[in-house]
Amino acid sequence: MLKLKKTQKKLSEFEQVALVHIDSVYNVALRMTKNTSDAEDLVQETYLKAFRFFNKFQAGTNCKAWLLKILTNLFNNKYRQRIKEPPQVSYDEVEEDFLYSLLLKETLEPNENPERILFSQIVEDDVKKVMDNLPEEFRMVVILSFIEDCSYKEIAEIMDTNIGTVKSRLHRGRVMLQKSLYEYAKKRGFVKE
Amino acid sequence: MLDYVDREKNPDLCEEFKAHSRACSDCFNRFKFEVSFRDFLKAKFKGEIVSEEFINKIKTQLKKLQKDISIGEKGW
Repeated sequence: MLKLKKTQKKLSEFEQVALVHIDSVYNVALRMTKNTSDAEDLVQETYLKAFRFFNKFQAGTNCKAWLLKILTNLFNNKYRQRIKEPPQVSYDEVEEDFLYSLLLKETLEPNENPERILFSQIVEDDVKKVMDNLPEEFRMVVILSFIEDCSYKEIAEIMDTNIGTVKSRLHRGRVMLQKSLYEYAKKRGFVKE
Repeated sequence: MLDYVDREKNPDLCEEFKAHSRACSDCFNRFKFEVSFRDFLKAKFKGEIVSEEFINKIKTQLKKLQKDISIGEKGW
């Protein structure tokens, strides 16, 4: 009876601190698995595993990062093999300011903002395709940083790697995304060849 | 530069960068572009809201697990 009350209290506490992050957890799961069915399964498994190990969670620490670490481990162990990865996006010999320089120098009229021209016209489906085509190790870092606002340190902890690797992957992921978006923009005629 | 875009620098270094970018339009414009790129991606991907039905499904599963734990079948 005592244990039942204790676990009920734990569940209530868990719902308060962990379930509030479900939109973020689902968002990351969806971008990693690329389909809603696997994303829902992954989220459910994440929450069940998190509750099972809730006694190991230190109150007051970052619960979202803790949940995302569990999600990442589950994804790596169970879902990763199922996901069809796209052909690698070419990265070699692309400067870090590739897109900015290109838009600035070659495609725009004077006094136009490169970001306004490109970002205001690219449609959501194209952006999703570009993100889904990013190799998984880069996609994860980009999502955690850009979309979930995690710091380099948090991402390193979530992905069980070091900050240098996070920075390097984020940098390469950013350039690959920009390069792919530019290709879409060219195809759709938003920017000149 | 990208560390600033990713908000990873301490406030003192950010002030240094701000001071530099006020005098250097190349850095200022590039910084503005990279911040816009981050904001653009965030706006496109942040909108996923989980349905109440799915949350309730998870709550039901959690309750079941909580009962299993309380009778000693799983965890703790």
